[in-house]
Amino acid sequence: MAITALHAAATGLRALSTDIDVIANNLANSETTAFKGSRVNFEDLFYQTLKQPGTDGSTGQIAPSGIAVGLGTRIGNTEIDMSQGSMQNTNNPLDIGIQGPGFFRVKVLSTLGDGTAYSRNGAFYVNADNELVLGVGDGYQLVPPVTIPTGVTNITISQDGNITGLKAGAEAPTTIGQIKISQFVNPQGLSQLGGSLFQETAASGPPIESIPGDQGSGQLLQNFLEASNVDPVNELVNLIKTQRAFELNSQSIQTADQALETVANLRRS
Amino acid sequence: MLYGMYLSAAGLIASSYRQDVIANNIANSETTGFKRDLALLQQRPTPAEGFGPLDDSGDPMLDSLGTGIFASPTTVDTSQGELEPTGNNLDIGLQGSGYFGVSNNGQVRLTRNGQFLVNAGGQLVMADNAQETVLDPDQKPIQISGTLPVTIGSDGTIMQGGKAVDKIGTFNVADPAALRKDGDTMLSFPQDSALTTASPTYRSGYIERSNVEPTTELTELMEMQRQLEANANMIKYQDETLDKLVNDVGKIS
Repeated sequence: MAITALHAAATGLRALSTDIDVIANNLANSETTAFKGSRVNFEDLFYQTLKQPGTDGSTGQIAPSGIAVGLGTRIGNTEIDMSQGSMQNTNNPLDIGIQGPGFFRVKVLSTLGDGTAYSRNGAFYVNADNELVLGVGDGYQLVPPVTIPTGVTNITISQDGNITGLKAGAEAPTTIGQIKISQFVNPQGLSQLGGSLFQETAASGPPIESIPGDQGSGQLLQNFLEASNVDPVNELVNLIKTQRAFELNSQSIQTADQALETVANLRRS
Repeated sequence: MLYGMYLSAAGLIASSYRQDVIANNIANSETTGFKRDLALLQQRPTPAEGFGPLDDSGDPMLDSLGTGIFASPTTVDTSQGELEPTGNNLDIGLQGSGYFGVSNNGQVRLTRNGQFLVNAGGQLVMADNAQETVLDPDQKPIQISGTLPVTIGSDGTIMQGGKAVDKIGTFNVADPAALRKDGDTMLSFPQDSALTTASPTYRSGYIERSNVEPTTELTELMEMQRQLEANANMIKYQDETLDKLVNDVGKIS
């Protein structure tokens, strides 16, 4: 009866409201450095078989296919869109953008998984111990660690991650360190920690560390930060679409409810 | 008289069944690769049509009396869904007939949902289930090595680092009506039916949207609501007539 329709429409409302949540978060982060938008993927639920295919009909005919009613929809997964964000010039020599796939590896609290996280946010600072740290959260230390000695000027970071600088009194620049990039076979399988940090999971596979530019990884771009890859126009179109789909499902609920009301009032008093 | 009431009840149940199917279509208006179900109804054959005249003395009028309505087997509208750009090159929308083959522990099923990912083991899998491997034309899992970027050509060829690695297979079954929806956008097919190779156009960076058309579904939903009310009213009228027959006709005052 119409109860199935009620429940199917309710699954639609529930899934679409999660879609609205995800779109709202994408829009809220349209100005977040190196933010990667997410997308909700929908799937149909199981089907209730009212009549098996191949059964005999009332008049002896054999049905070539059965009768099945679907029970609604659900969210299959949310998929992180790992596409490149645009590069914004900041004129800060310690801002580094990654052009192409890959992440910076940083040390986070040891209670967070294995104490390692990955980020594409390249806003680096030098902390009190002269270490290169991420400018987000608690100042997560870059791995492998890079130490910038006091008094070094003209810090240059090459596309392949080689850091050179001019030490006080010296005439020629010297190499200070090397930034490496970690890649994953399935970057969409990383878990999102917030604070532009990602963490390795069984689904993402182990990190593959390389010099920037090797093994298909991205190259580094000094003085630039990667902007959010959220396209507000796209998100707004999705939001409108989702809202309408939500309203459609509420129409199903109303119709099913009216059908039940009609049936409930069948008996004349 | 009571016979008519049962006919109206059958109509009411049929309308309600169609509402269920339409509600499911609407719920899946955002499901990638979803094909809408058509809830078709058919007239139940009259006794004369089904079994021949009941006996020689049968009343021809009764023999040809309509016998109501019941649900036909569910049919799937396999028309093309719109292709929506996603920018993710492992999203593939198919243009034309054919289904992706997906294997889960040896069980092969078909789908139009082309949202793929590479899992931790380097196999091309469905985005929602890392156990469901996408098959190449020889029905073997597709292995991708390393992290070099992958591009997919319009014939399904997977290119990595300028070299063709493998090809994403698409298949057809002899009788599309035999496909059964399993949920999770998967379709299972009878074991005795062989898969043939299909050659649709592969659009990398696109997904095929659900082919549910809100206008059609909502119109049908309204139509079903009224049909249901009409049948409900018929039941009431017949009840009224019965009331008269039982309580008023032959009343001894």
